[in-house]
Amino acid sequence: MTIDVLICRPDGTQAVESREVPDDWFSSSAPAEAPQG
Amino acid sequence: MASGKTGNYELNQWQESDRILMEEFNADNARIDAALKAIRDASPLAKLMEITTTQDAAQVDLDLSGIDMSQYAALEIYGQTMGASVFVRVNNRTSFTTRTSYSGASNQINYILYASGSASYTTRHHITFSGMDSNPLLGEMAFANSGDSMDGGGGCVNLPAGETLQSVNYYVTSNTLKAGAKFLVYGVRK
Repeated sequence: MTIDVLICRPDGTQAVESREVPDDWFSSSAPAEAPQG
Repeated sequence: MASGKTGNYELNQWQESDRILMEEFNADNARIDAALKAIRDASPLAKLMEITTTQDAAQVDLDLSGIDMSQYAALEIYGQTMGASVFVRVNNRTSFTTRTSYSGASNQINYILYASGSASYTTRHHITFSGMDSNPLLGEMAFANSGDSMDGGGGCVNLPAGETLQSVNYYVTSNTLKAGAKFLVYGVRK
């Protein structure tokens, strides 16, 4: 899938870059002891 | 020729009757240059990046590839995000071995840091990367959340031998990382 990534550089500039990533790129799950807000 | 000097750095001071000499200007600039260098060298921290994001994004990358890591003993990153829980990776890698204590079990996960968040409060985190010029890179981390509760955590993660820190990657799983996220990156000078 294609995602938009905001690239931030030391000179303060920001730019959106389209990037091809695996479909499970964002498949992270929170740790079991995830704190409550 | 200047007839007077300033009290601290002996910079030239001229009266109307004094002749202006190029050598005096050059000498002043050399003193100022040396004094500024001394101030910089005396400060243990160098601010390498200060960013407030200007648009929503699924992922935010702090691009550190242009920074000479050999100058620093460690990197300190302070972040403030809103809207959702945030996960952190480095170098866009998706597999890390982490350990939370000296003799604790190692875990294989696809991020190095998780910081809880929601639409109702701001999440703050702090990451320290040390061993910048050694292999493998060692990362340590701690974080705290504002809102109704505070939490902290720590652990370490190793990058493969020979791999240096190129980018720090922030993402969320079910939302966008809201514009207005703030990141401060400091280098700890050797």
